[in-house]
This record gives sequence, structure tokens and C-alpha cells, in this order.
Amino acid sequence: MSFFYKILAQQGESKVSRPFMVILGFGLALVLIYPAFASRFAITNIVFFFLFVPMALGLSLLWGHCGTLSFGQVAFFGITGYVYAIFTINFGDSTGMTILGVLAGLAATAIVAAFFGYFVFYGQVSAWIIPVLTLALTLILELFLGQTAGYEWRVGRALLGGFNGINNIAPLKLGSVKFASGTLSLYYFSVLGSIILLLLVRKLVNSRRGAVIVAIREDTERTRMLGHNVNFIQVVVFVISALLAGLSGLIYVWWGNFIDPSSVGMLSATVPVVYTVVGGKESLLATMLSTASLAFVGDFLSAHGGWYAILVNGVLLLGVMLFCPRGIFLTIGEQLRRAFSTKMNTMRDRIILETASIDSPDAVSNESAASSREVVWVSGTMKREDRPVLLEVKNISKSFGGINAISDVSLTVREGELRCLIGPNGAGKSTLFNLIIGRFLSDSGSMVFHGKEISPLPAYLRVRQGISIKFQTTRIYSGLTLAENLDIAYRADGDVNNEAHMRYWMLSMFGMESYLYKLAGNLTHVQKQWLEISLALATRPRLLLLDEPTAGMTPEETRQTAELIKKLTEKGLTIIVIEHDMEFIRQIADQVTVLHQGRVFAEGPLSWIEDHKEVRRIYLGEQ
Amino acid sequence: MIINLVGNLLYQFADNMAFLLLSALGLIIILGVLNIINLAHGELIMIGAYVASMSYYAGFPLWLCFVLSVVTVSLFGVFLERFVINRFSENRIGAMVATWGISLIISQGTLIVLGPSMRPIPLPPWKFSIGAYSYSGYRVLLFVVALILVFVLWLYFYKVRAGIFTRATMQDEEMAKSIGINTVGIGTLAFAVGAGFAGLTGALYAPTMSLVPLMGTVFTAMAFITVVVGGGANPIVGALGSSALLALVATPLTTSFGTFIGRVGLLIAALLIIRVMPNGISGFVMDFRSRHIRTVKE
Repeated sequence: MSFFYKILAQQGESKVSRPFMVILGFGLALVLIYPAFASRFAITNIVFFFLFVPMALGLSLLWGHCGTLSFGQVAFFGITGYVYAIFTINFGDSTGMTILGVLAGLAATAIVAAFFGYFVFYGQVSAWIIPVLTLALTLILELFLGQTAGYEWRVGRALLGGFNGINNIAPLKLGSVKFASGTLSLYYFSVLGSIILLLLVRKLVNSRRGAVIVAIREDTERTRMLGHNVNFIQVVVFVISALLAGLSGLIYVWWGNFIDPSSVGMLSATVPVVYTVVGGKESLLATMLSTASLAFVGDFLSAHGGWYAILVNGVLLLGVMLFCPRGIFLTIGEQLRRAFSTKMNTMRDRIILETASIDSPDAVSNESAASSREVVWVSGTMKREDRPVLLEVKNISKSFGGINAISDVSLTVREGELRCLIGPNGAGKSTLFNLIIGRFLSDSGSMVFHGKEISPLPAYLRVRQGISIKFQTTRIYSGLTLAENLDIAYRADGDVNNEAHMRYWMLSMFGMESYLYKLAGNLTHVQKQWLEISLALATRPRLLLLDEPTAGMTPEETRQTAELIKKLTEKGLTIIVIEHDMEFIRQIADQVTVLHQGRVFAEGPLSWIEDHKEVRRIYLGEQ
Repeated sequence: MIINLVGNLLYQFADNMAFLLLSALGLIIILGVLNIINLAHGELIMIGAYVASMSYYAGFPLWLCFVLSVVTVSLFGVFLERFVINRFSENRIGAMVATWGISLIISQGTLIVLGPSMRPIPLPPWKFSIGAYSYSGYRVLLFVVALILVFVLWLYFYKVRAGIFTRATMQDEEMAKSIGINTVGIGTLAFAVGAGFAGLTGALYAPTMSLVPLMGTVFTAMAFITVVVGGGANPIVGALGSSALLALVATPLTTSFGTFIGRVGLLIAALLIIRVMPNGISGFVMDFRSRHIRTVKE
């Protein structure tokens, strides 16, 4: 029993563990020899239990890992099945035509999913809109297909058939092998196919890209600001999950030789959601196990009347959401893990100790001094006026509805400069940051960064150009360790050799190196702010935007942060800081820009600003 | 000739808009106040229709049947909010999935207990004509009732003290709580009102369609699209703006190509609209207005 916990709760593990291999080998052997003992009827049933596995895995990927719930998986299931049916009825059931039919079905699904995904993900809509619209898609498709009875609803030779659906659909044929209902070939195709898909999706989720997918679930905006093309990744994951649903649809039509609107409709839409919810959406293996077992239970109940199967689905959904929201299978796995946790913890601690000793501080500081990454930042010895311009903001404006949040602002920041941005609330400071990083697009004006016009670029591309931001309210991935947090940042060169050193270097600046394998959520408020600065640094920026980095800090912590910021500029990093704390600004001050009512009000060295009468009046509150 | 066409289009527009508005109103109130999509909305509509039918055949006058539907479904809404929805304040998607479970339990439970259909209520035979065509007066009544409901909602939100508390809760629940507003009670009230509107919708449409356990899905697809386009920031602006806009899209499509093309057209229209206004019409309008008010103050 001791190995169940490990394979059930597999998220975050990077290697396929030995228990997983054992279970897999055992399962494979069982699957291979089962037909020798089973009747043709039993084999047909097993195919039915495994038929929904690809669709459920797709939903686990989309919802459990990427954080987007879709009720529309059955729509893609149906589209693929219908298109395959229409294609093979028109062009025959030869090997070539059935393969082309499979491709046509999957292509149709991919196109619909990409079209749909483009609008919802590039629109960056709220989380509730996607489930609602995918459900609407399902309902409309069911209504549409239901009224296609009659001769006028036909595609070539294929009649859509209204509520009766399409019958006598030819199964896939490869040479002399037919993947028809009751055959061993379909049995092996669906069962082995499910296992292979599980391994593939698991590999994806555990890869570096998979870490980004999970990061999108945890904090979409932070991930975008770490240089990832979040909208695109979401569309891709959506299309992959739709294709997996389509695969289930194909096996379904081969298995039953028919498809009808009810397999696309409201009640069928419940099926994949129930399977993932009951299994545990964050675990692929739990989802697969629950899919096969619930399909079995559902089949058993259907024999006693279809209504009861659906009723049980409803009770399961409600009950699991109320009492076991992480999923029954996953929770059991986690309970088992806890039961064996003493053993686990000692093992894990040893691993951490070993890893930590490799990254000893000396080795790191020596190597990172020689590391090429820092050379990117120019040396800070040149005089301010002689340094090249890094960011040139020219006459940008931004208005929302009626108000001009930023009007006609120009700003020149040179390399290695430390610029403070001050001004009363509502002066447009954070808006200016959002314009520079690209969270908002400016209405007019231009922005040149490092010799390149960036104002039309989306945010993630600006991050890749070398701009990075720490948000005003701290945003980190609380559920991940510090090391994993830092891993998520985009790396232009895909360089992972120096990664251990990079992390170590960034954290040691803040004295947090001993927390590297601790959960970020357990850090203190101040440490979280420092971690977020480290995160921003992990994208290797040339320009760092810090929005109130000392909010909520004690004077001592503020002083430490000021030290740190000075150290970073000494290494050549260019920094713009928004701050209200004048004491802090005095500690780090270089050049100060005062914003007032969306305009640049004054700009100059701190001493000059502090003596400026008007600034004192509007900002420091003197009469 | 022209009068026939205009009359017909106006009638169709009113019919479409009333349907969208009545389908979505209860859903959008719950979304606006509790920030939750109630996927059992269609089943609440079904219960409303069933209660109306049962009380009609128990011999009550039609208007009393409507009142009974509203009361029953509102009470059921209170029950749901207290025992289920309330427990998901931090997990909005979880609430959505749970309400879907509820919807399956209600529709399948109804099917098992009451059978596959319910006796329909006869359509009141009120007729009137414009030009050469004659139209159903009952459907015009539905349009008028929909507008009256929006007006009542407006009175509540802007003229009643509890309405101001509700808007405060919608804007900033923590803040509202800390100045002594009973936000939990407001949530329950909103869910009850939203459920009551659903019940009324079911009762009002009961004479126009066949009453089956899955009849809710006829409403929900349209209600979802209306709510997505409207957005939850301001239920009144959202519901009114979105139903009018979508009815404008649907009316010509439906009259020339049929109901189903009309619905596909609505889905595509919704996708295009959220690409431009991710928070829906009301989010767009509220954004514009709040910033505008700030300028005026400065």
C-alpha cells in the first residue's frame, strides 16, 4: 500500500517515481493478459470505461493545472465524432479515408477551440465567463443538432438525422485491422492509448512549460509579468484539451458506430466534470482512476434506469464540492501520504541538505562574480550625463472614459540610474508603470527602450526586452517553494546551467538563502516583498520598476531594502521606484520626478525638489 | 406593406428582448451581488413553471399561480443560499460546480418523481393586430412585465436604503461589513430575489411552452449569453443593455434564418463583444462613469 500516496499526489514531482513504475507495469501486464480470460462482452465494456479517459485528462490539464474550467468538452467530443462520421460516410471506409476522417475531425475541433479560445483568452475575461460560455456552446450545439431531422440537413451523402443522430459509422481501419466494437484492436487502442496519454500529459505537466501552466493558474498576471505569453499558452492548453476530448469522441463512434445530439448535450457535459471533480482535478492519475471506476458505476446504474445515473452524478458533484473539494481519490492519496509522512519527510530533508551543500555560498559568489549575466548591466562608474539613455518616454497620454490619468508625460531614464517617482495619490504613478510595462496600452506618444520602440508591444514582450515589475500589492506563488518561484521566470536563452547559482545569488542578497526549499506562503510580509523583487530580477531585467517596495516595513527593514536597491544600482541595474516614504527616498535618492494630476510637475535632484515651493505645497502638504 | 414589416419586426424584437431579459434577470442579480453564477437557474425556472401549472389545475386564478411560483422559488432560494452557496464564499468556481450538481438533482429528481411532463397551462387568447398580421397579446404583456421588473429593481437599488447597502456590498464587501452592513443577510436576500425572478419567469412562460423537467436549458443558454454580455457590475444596466443589444442581433437573424442560426449568431456576438468589453456592457459603463465622477469632483 505504501506506494499509493506517491503516485496519487504526483503534482510537482519531477521524476517518475519507482512506485509509479511498479503500478504502471502491473497495470500494463493486467491489461495485456486480460483478454485471454475475458469474454467479448467484457472487453467491449472495458473499452467503454476507458473511452472517457482522454477527455477527463484534458479537463484535468485545463482546469486542474491551468485553472480554467470548461463545460464544453463534450462539444468537442461531439464535433470530432460528427465530422469523422460525415467524412467517412462521404468518402468510404478504406484505411486512407478513415485516417483522413480522424484528421478532419480533430482539425475541426482544433479550429473551433482555437477560435473560441482566442476570444475568451485574449479578451482576458473573468474566470466565470469561460465555463458559462462553453456551456452555452454545448447547449446551442445540442439544440442545433437536435433539429437537423429531415432530408434538407445533410452534408454530401451524410444525413445529420436530428435526435436519431448518425448510425452505421465505420470504425478506423489500418490495413486489415479494424478498430471495431468488440475487437481486441480497439481494446488495446483505447486502454494502452489512455495509459500513454496519461504519461504524455504527465510529462507535459512536470516539465518547465508545465510549471508555467500551473503558475498561470496560481497568478495569471504575475506570470504574464514574468515574461510569459500567457494568452497564447492558455489557448494552446485549451486546444490540447479539446483535442483530447475529440479523441474520446472518436473512440466513442468506433465503439458504438453511432453518435447523437444527447452525447453532446447538457447531461453529457456533466460527465467529464464529475470524473475530474471526484478524482481530484489536480492529479492526472486520480482523474484517470476515477474516470474508469465512475464509468463502471455509471454503466451499472444505467442498467437500472438512466435517470439514476444522472441523479447520482448530481449528488456526487454537490457532495464532493461541499465535503471534499480536492476530490475523493486525491484526498485518499493525500491521507495515505500523511500516514507515511514521517518516512517521507526524513527522505526529503536529506535530499534538501544534499542539494544545499552543493550550492555553498563560496562556490556561488565566486562563480556568479564571473557569471556573464551581470555583464549585461553596465558599470556604474560613468557620470550620469554620459551614460546612454535606456528608457525614453515621449509625450504619452492615457485616459479612461472621461479622465486623463496620464497626459503628455515625458521621461528620460539613463542606464544605471535610480529614479524616484513621487506624487500625491491619484497622480498617475502606478498608471505610468502600467504603461511602461504594457499592462495598459498608451493612447498616444512613444516609448523607446534600449533603442527600440516598445509602445505597441504586449506586456510579456516588454518583459523579454528587459523591463520587470514588482507590483504594489505583493504577488508571489504562495503554494510553491522559493526555488520553484524563481524557476518560473522566463529565460530568453533557455539557460538552466547557472540557475542554481542565480537563485542562490538573488536570495542571498536578501539573506533568505536558507529558505530556498520552503513554501513562499510561509514567509513574513517583508520577506514576501523581497521574494517578489527577486522574482522580478529573475527575468534578468535592465530596468526594474518597483511600486512601493517598502510598504508596511519597519524603519530597519526599510533601511535594509534601501541598501539592497543601492547595491543593485551599483551593479548597473536601472531602477524606477514609486515611494511615499521621504525618509526612504533620502536614503536612495538620485533623481526625483514629481507627478501631479497625470503630468510631470517637477524633475531634478532630491535637494532641489525638497526646496521646491510648489512641490512642498502639493505634496508635502505645507501651506 | 411597410407597416406589416415594421410591426412584425417590433413585435419580434419585444418578444426576443423580453425572453432574454426575463431569462437573465435573476441570474444577473445573483452574479452582481454574490459574484456567483447559479447554474441551477434553469431548474429554478422549471420549478416556477411546475408550481404555476400545479396551482392552476388546483383551481387558482392565473395571477395567484404566478404569485405562488415566486414565493415558492424564493423560499427555495433562501434554503439553497443558507445550506450550499453560503459555504463557497472564497471559491466561486466551486460554487458554480456545486450549483450544477443541484441542477442535475432537481431536474432528474423531478423526472423520477413527477414523470416526463406536466400539464401545460392554456395560453390566454388575447389577440391584437397591426396591419395584416395578428399577434399574441400575452407576449406583449411579457415584455411589459419584464420592463416593470427592471423598474422595480431600479427603485430598490437607488431609492431604498437596503438597496444602497446592497450596492455598497457589491462594491466592497469588506468595507461594507466593517461599517455594520449585514452583508450575509444581503447575500441571502439577493439570492432569494434572484430565485424569485427565475420562478416568475418560469410561471410567465408556462403557458407558452411544453413543461418538461429539462425545460430550463431552453432559458439558460440565452441567459448565460445575456449575462456574459451584460456583466455583473451593475445588474440593471447589464441586463437592460445586453438584452436590447442581443435582441437587435437576434431579431433579423431569427426572422430570416430561423431560431438556431439566431442563437449561433448570439454566441458569436457575445464572443466579439467580450473581446472589446471583457467586463461586459455594465463593466464598461461603470468604468466610464466612476472615472467621470472623479473628474467632476476634482
